[in-house]
Amino acid sequence: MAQLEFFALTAAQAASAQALDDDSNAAISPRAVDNESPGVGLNLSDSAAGYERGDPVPLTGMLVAARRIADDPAYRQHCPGLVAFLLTLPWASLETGTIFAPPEA
Amino acid sequence: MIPFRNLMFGRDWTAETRVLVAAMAVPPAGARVAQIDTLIKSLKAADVWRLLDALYLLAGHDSQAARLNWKSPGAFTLSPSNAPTFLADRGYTGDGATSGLNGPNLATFGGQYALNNAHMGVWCGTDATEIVGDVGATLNVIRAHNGAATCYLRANSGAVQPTISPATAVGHTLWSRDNSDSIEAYKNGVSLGTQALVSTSISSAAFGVCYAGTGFSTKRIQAAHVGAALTAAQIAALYAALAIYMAALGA
Repeated sequence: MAQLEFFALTAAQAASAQALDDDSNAAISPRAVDNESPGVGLNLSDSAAGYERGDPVPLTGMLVAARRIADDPAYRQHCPGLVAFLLTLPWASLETGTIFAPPEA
Repeated sequence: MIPFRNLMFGRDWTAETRVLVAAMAVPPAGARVAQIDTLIKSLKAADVWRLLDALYLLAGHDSQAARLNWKSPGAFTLSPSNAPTFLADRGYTGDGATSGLNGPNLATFGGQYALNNAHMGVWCGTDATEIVGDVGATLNVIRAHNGAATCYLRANSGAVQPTISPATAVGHTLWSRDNSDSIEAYKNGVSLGTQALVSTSISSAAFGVCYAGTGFSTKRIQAAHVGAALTAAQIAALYAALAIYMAALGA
């Protein structure tokens, strides 16, 4: 399974993020962490509100969105407010097989 | 340099080419317009064009252009979700976890795709053996390389896994259904045989590219299309036309 960088969002933060996106050109759809024991991540952001770099990021009950959204030119062009919001959130490098339940066979 | 306006109106482009190019926010080069026009004319000559609901050439010169529905620009445009990676002239690649492109609901598409009269196709530019869909929705799926020597298809139905040789996702994978009991599967225009597969229903869900249902792919997708059932001759013509277009791009 792949190791990818994800922002971690609460349900309320996910709703806020979706209110800031551009449905036609640069949408965000945070995915629920649905594995039973996803563990915790380590925050790698220097700008996350309420987190120091290296702080644990709880994952149970959270949603995640790809860290690369904040670097994608289309997102920076079409919804800079979303990018600014995401950069206030903690992000961590996570194993997709650990945080997501297996896809339907 | 020849002005763009002259490129658009000084040649014998089809009306469909003119409408499509006019919908592109970044105008394509003249050579690309000619390639687009050649592809559309080939599909019209093979009587494929009228049977399409949507044709996406994701290997576009620009990301906005790559997401247009060639059959009806302005309708059923794909929207990127969670930042799939776009590479000009090559297509879109998902991250295998969250990212892809969202299309229209298959149950209310453009009028051609129906329960027992349907086709779906995808052109992959890279290979990966993945138990996830590359395009489609829950009951309407193509996994272009699902296992050791198989692809995995759902055609308004349960699943079937035809043998593919060589076993790779790269190229054009397609299924077509013109009855309730079976489908025909194709790889690069060649039949993989008739597959017994009873139709059940059309997923009332978005047509995904780089994903289907809850599974996310990591393959690069260069083209995708859906519509009514196609004959073997039409599928061979469709493959040939797409292959010429991809070759022209170097994709």
